[in-house]
Parts: sequence; structure tokens; C-alpha cells
Amino acid sequence: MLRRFNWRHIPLLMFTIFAIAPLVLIFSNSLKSKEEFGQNPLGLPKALNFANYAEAWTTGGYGQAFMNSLIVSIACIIIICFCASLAAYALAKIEFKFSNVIMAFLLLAMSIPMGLFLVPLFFIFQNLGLMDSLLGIIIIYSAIFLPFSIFLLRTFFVSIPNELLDSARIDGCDEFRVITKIVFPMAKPAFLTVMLLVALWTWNEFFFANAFLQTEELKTVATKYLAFTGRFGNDWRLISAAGVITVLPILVLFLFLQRQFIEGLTEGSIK
Amino acid sequence: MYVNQQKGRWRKRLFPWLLLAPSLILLLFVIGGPIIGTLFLALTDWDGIKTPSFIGIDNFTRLLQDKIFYAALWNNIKWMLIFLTVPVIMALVASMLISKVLRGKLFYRTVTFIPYILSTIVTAKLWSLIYNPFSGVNVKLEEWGLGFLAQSWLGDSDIALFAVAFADLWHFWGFLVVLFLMGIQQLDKSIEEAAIVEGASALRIFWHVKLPQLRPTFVLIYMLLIIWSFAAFDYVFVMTQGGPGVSTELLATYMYDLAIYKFQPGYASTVATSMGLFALLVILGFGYIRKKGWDV
Repeated sequence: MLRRFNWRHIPLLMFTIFAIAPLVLIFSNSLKSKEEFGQNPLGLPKALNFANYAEAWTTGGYGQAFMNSLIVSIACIIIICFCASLAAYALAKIEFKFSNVIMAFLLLAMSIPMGLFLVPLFFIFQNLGLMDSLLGIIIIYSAIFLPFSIFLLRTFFVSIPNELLDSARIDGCDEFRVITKIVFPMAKPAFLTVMLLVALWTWNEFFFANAFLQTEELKTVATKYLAFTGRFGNDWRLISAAGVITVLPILVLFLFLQRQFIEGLTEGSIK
Repeated sequence: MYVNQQKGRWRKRLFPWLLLAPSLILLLFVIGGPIIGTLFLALTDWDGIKTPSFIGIDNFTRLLQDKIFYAALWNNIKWMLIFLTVPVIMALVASMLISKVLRGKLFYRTVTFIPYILSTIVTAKLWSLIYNPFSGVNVKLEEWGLGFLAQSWLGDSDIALFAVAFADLWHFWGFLVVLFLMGIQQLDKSIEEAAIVEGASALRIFWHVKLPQLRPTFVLIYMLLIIWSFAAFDYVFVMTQGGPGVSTELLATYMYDLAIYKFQPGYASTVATSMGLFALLVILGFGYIRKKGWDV
């Protein structure tokens, strides 16, 4: 048994420790009392004490923030799935003039720095009353995560054989029913991936959320955390507990559905 | 009959545009239109309140004499050089090792990927704690008798940028591991086997057989890394706000600061335009490489 031990596990375990150690640190700090953190900022906690979580949750107003993030995520998922699936079908299965121009535009929209459209957007939204509103942030997120989602769905649609769609057309399905009755049901796994990724992005995004949401009650989880760390300065046990609260939903989702996450994120950027 | 055919043809022509319409409207409203707005504002002295007046290329002349702009640009270049080397090498080594173990492949892939899905604000704050001179890694270094290695990680203008980049690197490199693993999966095994039969060493196989075949993966990774390096924002924004001085200022943080906190949206647009220009150059450059068939 010992002879067959693969030496590669040793460097790989070091990489594992590198990836995990900071997470162990934030979790163990979240369980310490103030005094304990002062004496032992880097070690493991003496006892499992979840009081910091309750304090961070209530003083941080995390209930409201979770609700806001949930609303934003779900709304974006609906809008993106609707818009992206139709666009992806057009780009995957219909030959038309300028389809390559549209593809180039999508690629550009995906890779251009977000700062390039921040300033005018800020003032357009101010004039339209979309500033400091969840609707405004939903519109922005739906747009910025749309190109990636279109590419992801398109890749999947391309792999659906044309013969299948043709035989449905011969059976009397019009174009609309081909899409809704054949293509979409087949693409369920791709839709699941898009939903997961949109949930991930909207949960973590803060470049726009920080600029566009100023009212405390409207803040999403990520911006709430930023405000929280500003308020509690050096109280690392509370900041750690709030951090764990912020990342936990995504972490749990990831551990259950990691294949969809990993393959979605990488495949979308390759094709 | 003829009329019907005409109608049918029009319907067929319009159909893809009908499907694209919701996406295009959304994208033109949030991204396309505002980009044109930015290009226009870059030529004005707008302060966000009064009507913008056209000042020609004055902002660009100011940009070319702006010391902070150059500092930020140079920091972006350093950032890019760090990311093009350190995480790429780490991820290449890790993925090569993972591809050669039988057990735990999935485990290693998952574990290295976890940091990538976590909120950047949380991980940035976490690294601020690690770098904290009183409660961070310095404490452990003292304990281990390595006190001479202790640094004011985020306070020393010579190392702050590297410290911040390292935090981002920790968050990001697992993504590269997955990309490399996908590339390795597609390697042609028969060439490797032939090389083994010929008696080539593992190092030579890596260098002459595997690396050349990974070229498409490298091209993709380099394109993503260069684009993202010029857009880097999160970690600096949370950890140092560009300081100390301008030692960690990046183009994106400078632009954000000008636009949101300094009420100079006109000049901020000029900085943003320069960022867009870099991104466009990179995209066109890689488009050219693709056309030449270099990555196939």
C-alpha cells in the first residue's frame, strides 16, 4: 500500500492547504469572543460559539439584505433566461445577415471594462428615477450578464441536431412551438447552469451595487457586507461572522452543484 | 399566392430579429448607448450638475500630463505581468499533477475552485485581516522565529500592490486550474506514449509534447488575463483604496473615484475611454492571432 503512494499528493495537499487555510481562518475567527480573538487571532477557537452570527445578522440587517439579493437574483434569472434563450436560438439555428456582427457585439459587450458605461448610466438612471432602486440594479445586472448567458445557451443549442427540429416542422409545428416544445425542454441542463451562474454573479456583484444603491434598506448582501465592515472597523470576529453569512448560501449551492458551476463558467468563456 | 410568398419571406427575415429584440434593447440601453455617452462626455468638462460644455481634447491633454494616470497605468501593467506568470505557473503545475493522480481528482479540482465562487468583498476583507500587522500573518511569523519576514503588507508602498494582487490571485487561480485540466483532457495520448517508448524523460515530454498542444488553452488564458488585468478593481477598492499614496491605484479605481466621489464625470469618462482603448487593442490583437490560425 505504502509503496503505491503517489508523490504528487504531497504538493497537491500543499495547494489544498493554500486554498483552504484562509477559509478555515475566517470560520474559526467567527466563533471567537472578543477577548479570545485578541489573545489568539490566528488559532482555532476554544469552543463552538455561534453568538457572533446572531449579533452580525441582527445589527447588520442581514434579513433585509438577503431578501433584496433574493429578489434581484430571481428577477435577473427570469429576465436573462427569457431574453438569452430567444437570442441564443436565433444565433444558433437561423442563418441571417449580420449574425456575425451581433456575435462580435456580444463579445465586445462581454469584455469591455464596466467603467466604460458607468458614468452615463449613472446619470441616465438618475433622470429616470432608477437610481437607488432594486429595479434599476435588476436592469443593469440583466444586461451585463446577458452576453455570457447567450453564448452558453447558444453552445448548447448548436449541439441539438437540425434533423430533429426539421421532423417537428414536418409534423406541423410552427417555429414558435419548435422553440418552446422541443428546444427549451432539451436545454434544461443549460438553463440550470445559467440560473446558477446568474445567482452567483448577482449575489457577489458590488461594482454597480455600491454605486447605485445608497439606501441602507435596499442594499444587497455584498454591499451590506461592505457597509458592515465600515461600521465595525476592527471587530474582526463580527466581520468574520458576517463574511461567513455572506458566502454561505453560494458555498452550499456550489458544493451540491459544483459540476454545473465549473463547467458552465469555463465552457462559456471558451466558446 | 405571390403575395403570400412575399409575406412569408419577410416574416422569415424578421423572425431572428424578433428573437433578438429583447436582448438587443436591453444591451443597447445599458451598455451600447452609455458607451457612446462616455465617448462624448470624455470631450466635455462635465461636473455632473451643469450642462456639459464641449472642450475638445483638453481632457486627453490633461490625461497625458496626469501623474496619477501614469502611476495607475504602470500598476495595471505590473498587475498584468504578475497575473500572466504566477497564477499561470501555479495552475499549470497543479493541473499537471492532478491529471496524474487516480484518486482525488475531483476533490482537488473542487477545493482549488472554491475561492473563485466566493464574494470578492469577503475574500478581500479576509486578506486584509491576514495582512493586518497586529492580528495577521506577522504574528505567526514572529512565533515561528521568522520575524524578519514580517512586513507592513498593505502599508508599505513597495509591496502593497503585490500583496493585493496575491489576494486576488488566491481567489482566481482555481479558475485557471479548471481551464488547464480541460486542455489536458484533450491532449493526444498516443504522442506521449510514443515519446515514452522512445525513452524521453518526463520533463522533455512536458516541454516538447504537452506544452505545444496546450497552445489554444494558453491563448485563451492570456486573452482573459490581459483583459481582466486592465479592468481589475475589486481587491484594490476594498483593501487599499489605491493607497498608500498612489502605489496601488489602478485605472478602474481611479476612474471610479473620479466619477462617484470626486464629481468629475467628464474627466472620469476620459480615463474610462483610455481603458476601453486598451481592451479594444487586446481584443483586436487576439482576433488577428485567431485569423492567422495561430491558436489551432
